[in-house]
Amino acid sequence: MHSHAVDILLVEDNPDDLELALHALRKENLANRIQVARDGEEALDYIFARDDYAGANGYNIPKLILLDLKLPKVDGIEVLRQIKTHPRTKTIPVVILTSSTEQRDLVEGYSLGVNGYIQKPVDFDQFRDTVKQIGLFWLIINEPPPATATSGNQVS
Amino acid sequence: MKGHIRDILPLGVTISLFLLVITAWLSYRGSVKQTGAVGLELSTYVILGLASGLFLAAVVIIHSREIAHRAGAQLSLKEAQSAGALEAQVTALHDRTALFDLAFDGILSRDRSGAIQYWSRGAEETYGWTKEEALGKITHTFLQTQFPESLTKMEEALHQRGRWEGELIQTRRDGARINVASRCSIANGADHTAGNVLEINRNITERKKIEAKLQENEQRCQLMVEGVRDFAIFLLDTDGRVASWNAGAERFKGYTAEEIIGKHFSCFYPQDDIDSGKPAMELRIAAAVGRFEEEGWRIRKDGSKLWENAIITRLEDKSGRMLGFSKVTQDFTQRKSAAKILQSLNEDMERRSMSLEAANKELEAFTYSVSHDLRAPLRHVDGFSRLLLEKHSSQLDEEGKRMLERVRQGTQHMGALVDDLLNLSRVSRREVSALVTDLNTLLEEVLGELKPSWQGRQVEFQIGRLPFAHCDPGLIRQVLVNLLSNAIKFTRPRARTIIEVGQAQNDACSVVFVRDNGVGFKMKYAGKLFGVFQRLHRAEDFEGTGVGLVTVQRIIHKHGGRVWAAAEIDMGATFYFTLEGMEGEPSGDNITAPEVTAVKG
Repeated sequence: MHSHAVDILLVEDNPDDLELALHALRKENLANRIQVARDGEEALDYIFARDDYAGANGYNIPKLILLDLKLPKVDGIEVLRQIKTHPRTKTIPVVILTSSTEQRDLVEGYSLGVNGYIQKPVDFDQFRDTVKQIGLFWLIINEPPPATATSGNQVS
Repeated sequence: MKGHIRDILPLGVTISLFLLVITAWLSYRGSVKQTGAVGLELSTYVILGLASGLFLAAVVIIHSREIAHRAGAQLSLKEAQSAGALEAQVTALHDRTALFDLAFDGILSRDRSGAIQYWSRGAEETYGWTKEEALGKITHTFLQTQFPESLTKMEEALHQRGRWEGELIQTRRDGARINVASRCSIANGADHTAGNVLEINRNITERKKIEAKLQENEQRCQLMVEGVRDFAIFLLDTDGRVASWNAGAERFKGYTAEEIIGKHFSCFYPQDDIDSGKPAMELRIAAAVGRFEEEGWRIRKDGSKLWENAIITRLEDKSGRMLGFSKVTQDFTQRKSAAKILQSLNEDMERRSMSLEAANKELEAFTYSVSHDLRAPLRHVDGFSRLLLEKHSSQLDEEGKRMLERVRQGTQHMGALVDDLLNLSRVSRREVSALVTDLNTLLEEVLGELKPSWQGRQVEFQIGRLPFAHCDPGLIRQVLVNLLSNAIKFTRPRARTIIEVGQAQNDACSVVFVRDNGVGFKMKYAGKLFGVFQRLHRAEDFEGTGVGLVTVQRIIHKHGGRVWAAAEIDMGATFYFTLEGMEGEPSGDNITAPEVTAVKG
């Protein structure tokens, strides 16, 4: 099975945020395999197995995508749109983890079918707690979609 | 009989002559013979002579009587013939004067002294006096005539020219004054009729009344047209020459009536229009279709320009013959310049609104990046401080750890400031979408939400009945959150907190208030309450960003309401606000639990 090659795809451009997020995720021992994408383009390349991530099966399906919105090249909303409009990837749970609680981002995110929207708290303890809750819910408590639902048309 | 008498006359004369001849012969024979009977002879002669003489006399008498009779008969026939002609003449005259009676007009004649001699049926009808009443009366006394000039002048004219005509005012039998059109002729002959006057008088009272009314209307119309100052109203003849002029025309165009009447109306047009034949074309169109309207530049007498709206209307009589044109004009010069100003104002406004829109977009972009970018470093400072404390605490003494804690507190406060400012900016930009809202329900929700903030404290809420308001529930909810959060925060030192929410009446206007028994503030600082970042308490006593009340004020102002506060140091504070369209009766009762009222339609 290649579809759940990683537990979490963490899309984050800011190195400080990235370090703190990884720290929080690892501390809780929730995710063993974390794939990092540093911009929107890299995230899409990974998921749709293009360029550097090109593989025989055509798709990389993580258990969860943690998505920042403000990203270089392709922004988070566009990444979300492509994931949620493609039959192969639309069932992947995506949680937006961002600084913004702008109304338009919330509206757009939910209308595109995002599974969660969380504002990163300034307080690191709260942030760590938030990350823990997310991981706990989506990787352990929540029952993921059956593999066929996402890989039904898979070639191999 | 007559023929009979004539026939017997010669016979009578013949018989008489025969008797005389016989008598004469007999007398002759008697004298010759003298022998016959003497006695018989003389008496026979006498008798015969007497008889024939008598007979002759009788015949002559009878005959002469016959002649006399005949002559008499002839004479009476002549007489009879002459009387019949007179009678016919009288009848004809009578018939003719009877014809006069058919006239509507009053016909009368008067003699030299003025006495009425003839009075027609028409005169009877005109004046109400019968012929019997009128005949012999002195005309002008009888009819109380008022002359246009004087009786003397009228008489003079009558005698000079033999006739006079004019209008008189006379009095009817019933006392009514009537207008009379009178025509008089005087008989100038040398006979006894000389100086007799025939008057034919027509009652024109009704006509005069109608004429007077028409004239009045006409005058009124003319006065109206002449007096109108806001419109130039004038007439053009069929060639386009000015035929009348009013005050408005004089005011607009600067020409007086004397200056312009008779001139061609093309002199009002700019030279270009005259050259292109525009005035003539306008008349042609008006003549053809009845009306021509346009707005355009005209030239005043002083050469200045005038923007006018003009309507040229074809005028025609009942038979459809064109009499000329009317031209009604309004001076739109000011409107034109006002329109220009308005247009430039609109353009200006459009520019401003575009730049405002641009500014708004910029602000939005700014707040968007603030919310992203300003918070991110704060998170990093806090995050790494926390990690430093966790992972490297062994290398830090207590003072170092305390300082790092202060760093973290600073960043968190900064985070709160950024969040509050972003919220304020969001509230400011947000458009109010007002609904009829039950403030009681809203308050109940807010209290439920804030419950964790007074955990472990003894807090009593005294909730009165709140009104319905026409407001944006999301925004007013934030007002309630901010005011109640403040009340909860600033009563923290109180062993027993009492927070009162209710409705009061202020100048016939419903006011909602939130009252606490907290630390209050000095009223002299009340002016600073609603300023951004303004705080009346030390940060170590009461945390806060100084943005909450500004947000409250901005929301209330967006609703067209007012917000103010009353407080006393250590005696608590009361915040009041009003909203436009807030309805409800003030409730003096304090009740300890929120009362839920069903939302009325």
